[in-house]
This record gives sequence, structure tokens and C-alpha cells, in this order.
Amino acid sequence: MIYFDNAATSYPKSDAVIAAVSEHIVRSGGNPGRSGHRLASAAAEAVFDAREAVGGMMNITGPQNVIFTSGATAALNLALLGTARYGDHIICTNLEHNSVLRPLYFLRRNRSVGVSYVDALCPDDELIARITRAITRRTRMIVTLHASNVCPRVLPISRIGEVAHRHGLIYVVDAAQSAGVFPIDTLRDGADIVCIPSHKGIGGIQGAGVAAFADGFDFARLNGVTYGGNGVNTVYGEMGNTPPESYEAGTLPVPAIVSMTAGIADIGNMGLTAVAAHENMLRMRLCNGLNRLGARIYGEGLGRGGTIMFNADGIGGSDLADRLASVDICVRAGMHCAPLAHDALQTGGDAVRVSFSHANTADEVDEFISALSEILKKQ
Amino acid sequence: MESRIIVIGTNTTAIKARRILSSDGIAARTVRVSRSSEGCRYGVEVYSRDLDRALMVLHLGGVEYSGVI
Repeated sequence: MIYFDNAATSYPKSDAVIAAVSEHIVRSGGNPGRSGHRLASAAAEAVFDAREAVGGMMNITGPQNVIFTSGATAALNLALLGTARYGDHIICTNLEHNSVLRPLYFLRRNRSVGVSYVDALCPDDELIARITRAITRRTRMIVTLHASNVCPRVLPISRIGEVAHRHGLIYVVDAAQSAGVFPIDTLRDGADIVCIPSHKGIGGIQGAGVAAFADGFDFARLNGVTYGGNGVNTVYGEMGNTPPESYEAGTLPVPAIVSMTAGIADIGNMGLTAVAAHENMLRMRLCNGLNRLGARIYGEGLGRGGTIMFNADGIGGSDLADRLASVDICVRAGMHCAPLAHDALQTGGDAVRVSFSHANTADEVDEFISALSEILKKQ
Repeated sequence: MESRIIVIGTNTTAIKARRILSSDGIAARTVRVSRSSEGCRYGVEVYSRDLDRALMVLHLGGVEYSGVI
């Protein structure tokens, strides 16, 4: 099997991640923050370790600023719905995933929030100019992805963060595709809130996400979006504003959280620079092969991310993905939950996406090109 | 040996408090405190002889507590 669908979820998981999850389930599988016995305490300590690991990855010193959710989508819902007020204006880009677009749509429909969608298919200098021009006196927030899930575009989040802070705006970064690949530093990048999943570049298992808040974030500005039991102050109806528990209702996905600690350690051992360089090499090798086959690549020269979308003449993207699946090559076709990006890249709404991880090899890329060539010959 | 519980509040802050105390050489363990009319809270249990120093270390570490039992 060749697995080129890492933008959906990373595969395979490392031995260290598998061992960490198994060890936790067997030896410390209590419910953290609910009881005082050994298993609950062990689980709570493991969750705290994960908060420190995630915070350490983003230059956040307060573990309480790392809030766990069920995934990056839930983290973005917390970040966006938890901070936007009635009548605000928010700026995003035309590359955003539906995990950003749909909460913004909700805010437009239900809180009269205005949204500006800035075209990010341009050089960085122009992008910064476009974002700056979009700012109005009602603007409260800028939310952008870091790395696109459909093309190699990687946005200049440090520069966007500088614009946001110069204008007193909150900056939310959707780092679903960049965490574990490109460095994210909340202080250097001016990111107030960074949202990541457990199961993509971090290399953990599915089931958790993080909304990470920069040191000094004023949690009085954040309303929770999930209400329920959290193990403290039970008699009160209000969830409060004390992180993280006020924003973590319900049982935490502890196995997935534990997997993040192991995954982050793996990434630390490899080094982010090496991971990004490897994925960049694979992407360039793939593009060379696709160009030889006459494939239509979308956004090829846009950046250094490890994701490429393409189509071939005479066969639709979904059909091509099915043919590749029949020879045990895993890719994703369709719109990839990024409708505006597909519009902007003019894909016709159905393209094949190849997304790499550090576990993929150059030989796999060559094998992919060979298999694709055979499929296209039969067309 | 006698011990006292410094009531912290949330589980996360109690663990943070325990680790701060441990790094300062003060033996501590995280405990759940059920004796609250407001519901469960968490705290750190320390030996009575270490209480004063523990409170100072927590204060210097920026950890607030709501009481000692």
C-alpha cells in the first residue's frame, strides 16, 4: 500500500505513539479530573504532560492555556464562536477549510458578523496588503490557515500576526496541516489562538484537538461553546472563564491526548526542518512526474507545503482516485472541504489530492507515477 | 506525620502546584477535595511542617489557593 492521504489523517502511527496509547489504556485509563484514585490521578498527570508538550511546541509557558477538544474543528469552533461578538467583522482567506468557513457562516447568519474573504493566491507582500486593506473599524479578528490542505501554499503567519496586533485584532491560526511540519511560535508569529488536531502532522491518533492560547490571553474574552460537567464547582450553572476546565466539558479523549505527547516527541527527534524539507522534496519529485504525464497541477509553484492537487485529461478526479485505490494507493478526491480554494484554483470541484508525511519515500512517489501512468494509458 | 491540604481549585492548577512544590523539594501529592459546598475541588497535600514554605513557594510561582484544611 502507498498512503498519500496524510492531510486527512497521518498513517502509519509510530511505534512510540502506539505504545504510549496502549500503555495508557492498560495502566492509567481513569477519567482525569473526576476522582481521587490512582487511575484518575495518573490520567490527569498524563493530560498535564500533554498540555506542557503542546505548549512547549508553540512557546506557551502556561499549560492551562492549552485547551483540549475533540479535534481541530472543535478547537476552531471554540476560537471563533467563543470570541466573536454580534456585529463584528472577521477577515479570512479563500483557502480556508470548512472548519473555518462554516463557523463563519454561522456567525454571519446568527450574529450579523461580516466576513471578508481575501484572495491568498498571490505573493506574500500582496496578501499582507490585501488583508490590511480589508480591515474596518468593526474588524475584530483575522483567521487564516497556516498551510493549505489542497495546495502547497503556506501563509506568512508572522506577518499576518503583526498586522493583526498592530490593529488590535485577535489572530486565530488554523494549523491543522502545519503542526508537526512547520514551526509555530505564538509569540514570534503573533498568534493569539492556534488550533491543531492530534492525528495529522503531530502523528497521534484521531480523537483530540487543541485550542492553544498565547501567554497573556485574556480569557474573559472567551466564552465556552460546550457546556457540561468538568469535575469542578459542580453546584454552579455557569462554566466560568478559568482555563482549561471551563472550556473542557465532558470526558477528555485521553488516549488521543496521550498520543500527542508521544507524537510531539517523535517530531522533536526528527526536527521540523528535516520534516518540512523531506515533504518539499517529495512534492517536487511528484510534480516532476505529474508534469511528464501531462497532468494538470493546481497551484504548483505556490509554496513549500507537502500537498498537491491534480487532474488528468479524460478522467474525473474521483474516478482516478478510485482507480488508484484499486491498486492500493490511498489519495483523496473531491473538494476536500475547501470549496473556495477549489473555486480559486479552478479545479472544477473534483481533483485528486496527494498529501505527504515524513513517513513517505521517494520510491513511493516513483511507484505512484508508474501506477498513474498505467491507469492513464488505459483511458 | 500530620499533613494539611492546600485547596487550589481545578485539577490542572493543582497538578501545576504539586509540580512547583516538588521542584522546590517539598513533598506533595494532588488530592481531590470533596468537602466543599460548591462541589469538588482539587488541592495539594503537604506535610504540616512544610506548609508555610509551600504557601510561599506557591505564591512565588503564581499559584493562587482558596484555603488550607
